[in-house]
Amino acid sequence: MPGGYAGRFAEIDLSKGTVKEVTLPEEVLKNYVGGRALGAWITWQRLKDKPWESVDPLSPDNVLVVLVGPINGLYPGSRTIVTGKSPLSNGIIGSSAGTWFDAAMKMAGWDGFIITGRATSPVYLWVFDDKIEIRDASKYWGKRTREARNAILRDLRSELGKKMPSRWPKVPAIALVGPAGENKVRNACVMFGQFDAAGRGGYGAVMGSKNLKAIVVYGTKPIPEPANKDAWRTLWTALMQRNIQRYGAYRRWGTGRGLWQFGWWTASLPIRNWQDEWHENIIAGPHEYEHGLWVRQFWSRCWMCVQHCYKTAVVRQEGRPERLVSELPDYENQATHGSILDEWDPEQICTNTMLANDLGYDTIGIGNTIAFAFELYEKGILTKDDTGGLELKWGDSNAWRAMLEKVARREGWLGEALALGEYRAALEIAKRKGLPPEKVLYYAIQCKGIEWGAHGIRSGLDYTRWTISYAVSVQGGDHTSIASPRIEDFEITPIIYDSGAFCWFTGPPIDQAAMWLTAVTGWTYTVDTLKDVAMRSLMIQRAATLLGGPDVSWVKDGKALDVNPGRMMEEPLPSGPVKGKKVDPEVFKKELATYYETHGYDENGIPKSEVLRALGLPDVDEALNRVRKK
Amino acid sequence: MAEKPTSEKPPEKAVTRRDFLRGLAVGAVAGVVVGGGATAALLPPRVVTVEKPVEKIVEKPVEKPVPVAQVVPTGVKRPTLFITEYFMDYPRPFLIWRRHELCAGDELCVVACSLAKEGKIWPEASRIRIYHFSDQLDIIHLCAMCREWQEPTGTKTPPPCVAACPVGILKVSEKTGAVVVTDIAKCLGSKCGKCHEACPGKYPYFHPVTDKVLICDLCETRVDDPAKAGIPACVEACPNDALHIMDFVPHSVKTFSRTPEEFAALIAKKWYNWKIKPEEVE
Repeated sequence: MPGGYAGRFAEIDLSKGTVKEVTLPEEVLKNYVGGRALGAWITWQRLKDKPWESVDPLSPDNVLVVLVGPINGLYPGSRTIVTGKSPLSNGIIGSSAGTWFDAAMKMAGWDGFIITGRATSPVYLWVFDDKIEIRDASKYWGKRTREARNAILRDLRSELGKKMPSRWPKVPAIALVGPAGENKVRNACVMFGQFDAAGRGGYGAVMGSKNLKAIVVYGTKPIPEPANKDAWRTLWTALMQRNIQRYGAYRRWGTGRGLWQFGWWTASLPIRNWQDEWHENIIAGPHEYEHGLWVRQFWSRCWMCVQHCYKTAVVRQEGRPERLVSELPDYENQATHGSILDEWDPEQICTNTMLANDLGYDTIGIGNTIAFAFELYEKGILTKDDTGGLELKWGDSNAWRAMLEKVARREGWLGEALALGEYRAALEIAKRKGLPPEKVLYYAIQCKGIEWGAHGIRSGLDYTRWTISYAVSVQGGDHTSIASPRIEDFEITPIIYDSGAFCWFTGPPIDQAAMWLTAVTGWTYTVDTLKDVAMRSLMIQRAATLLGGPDVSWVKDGKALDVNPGRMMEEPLPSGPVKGKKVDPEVFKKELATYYETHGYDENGIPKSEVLRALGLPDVDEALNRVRKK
Repeated sequence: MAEKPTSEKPPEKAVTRRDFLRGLAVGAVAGVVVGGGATAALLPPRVVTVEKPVEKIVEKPVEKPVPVAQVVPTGVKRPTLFITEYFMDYPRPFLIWRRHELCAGDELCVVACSLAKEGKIWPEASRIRIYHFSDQLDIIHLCAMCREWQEPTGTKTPPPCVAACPVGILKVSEKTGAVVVTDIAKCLGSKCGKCHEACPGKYPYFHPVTDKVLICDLCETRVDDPAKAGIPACVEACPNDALHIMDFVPHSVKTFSRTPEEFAALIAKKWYNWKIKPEEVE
């Protein structure tokens, strides 16, 4: 048995109410490591023969996979991966959350949960070591994330306390969905605790569609031992030293200083739904922003992490002495609930993100979607009649929060439409307004149905410096998994990080990541073999995205739809250090051609047969025959 | 030194810092409990009388400009020490002080404790725990190390767990003052749980496999290890200085003898101005 792994998965069929133990062959673990790559493989294996295109992501046929990698629990940092067929892209997104849930899973002795079917009434899972119970959750259904988390844990802990008084009930780890997930809003997240979300890809909607309110895990076993303990101790010590010395990076400011860094230095911050990407509001700088809000500098709850990129914020309430407590909005949240709306007041932004978290949204996705509605209102495509009397004016946080509530409840036709995610909402609005879809899609800043993270590509100064960063990425607009013309330029690192599963902010360079995996699993990994792992993950995800279905597919006339939103080509940046810059179609074409060539895609963007077979993926090759031009 | 009154005789022998400290420890500092007498279990009574220093009338000195390089401290009779330095004679661990505002909830202390005691990462077998309550209240839970327990009436008794143990295997260590288990084989385990019941902080944990009691002994084996300097594993591991090994206690040790919920309620008041009861902590 390789080190690091707990060695077994739990397959939970909610329709039948059964729990089964699954062991994967060592060859699979070796070739897919864990996390995102292994999750993509599991999802693909289970859905490929249905066939893939026919599976509705929100139907009982879909699977929800929650899993970790071999290093989790032994590594100073945390990542739990949630995957399945995404209701936004209809492909596979490896959505990850930073929380100690991964260590709790290892301590309970599970590498992952594969959840299938649909429960007839709301349930939650109580995982206590080897025992997995499916319990009634109708009491908690409809509650917001904070309230639901507190209610579930309170009941569970008092029950345990009565049963085992001297084994004092500890606080278990929990993953749950909020009202957005229950109502199958496609931008819903799986929330771990209160603020740590696996957001991208909309797996909260998948969890909600299975009538699964929460997964609660508590383990009493030791973390599985690494294969080479001495090597692991050395790597662990070195990585902790390195991370604690990077004080200025995240330990001091968290990611919150990004509002200034990306808004002013690199001109890649979304402002008014990406109309602009540069600002000079000094209030967005860390001295005003972070110092104005936070009460605790160090806070993470990530397993053994010394980086602590999360900070705690408190917000004053009108007329009440009690403070509201929140995670200090990180950079992405500040951008997608602040600058994208032209809101710069730290307290207002914090209140917006608190509400979005409480409703259980993918904050990046819903922020982009609602900003899109704001812009349509500005352009006159949406009117007061459509919004139910709300005026969607830039900078109006009250209207923003009202929209968040409306979409979570799917109120009115606009709430219904926006609950479908930005891409589908654009199609729906175009249909309703009798407009050509391109005209509305022009304002929808998304790729493959996944709304963009807050790093623009027009300025070329951010790390998303390639024009194909989002357009050809298998995770669409997910900023944590961007594409680069050659896989070794950038793309390999996020894939290996998500598979290991390392964290972006605490992870070692890719060669040391190979050492980590070697020391922990006992198999030999090098950068070259990791490239194969990354390619396998990439090919499965690419095939799943291209096949898509049932409602949306990303292939048209045998050609992959790898395009940027129209705005990036048409509108130059209106201000900032690189004013006037936009995406050059020639550069885009060249980078795309390089990408296709180095990744083994044909000129239509579909992976070639021989490449897939060399990677040991003949089933992917056969499935892709359905979209290849005859 | 020209200003020094001539009537005062120079001392026979220069007062060393150590002598001075002895004097201090006997009577000069009031209101501070000193953490190491003959036995750590029995503290010397608090000394509340303070000798008022005799004021000396010194004539106003004639001001003479002195080159900066020649300035020497004048009139300074006692070394200026940082408060902890007064207790350098007693470098023995006494209490692990917790600063919840610096705790990030990363569980490195838990990991370090289980690695030191069990040889693997095993939080359930750790003697220190972190409770992740809602709204970012991360509470460190650990033995309060009460060497004696003072009732409101003033009577003093041994720590409640020591008194409650039906097989009498708990005692206060002479080396560190922490509660140690003399014969772990005799422990009746979580089914008995009398020590847990008696503790106002609901502290002792039980091992998940052997079901024997787990009590923090302040890493007794590290006390004599010069490389470790008596610093417990959890204190060494904390990256945020949320844990400190103290050899004196500025407040009552009872500060920490609370359940995690009680502590969380206190902190919620301090940080968020929330008036909540311990049973409302979730």
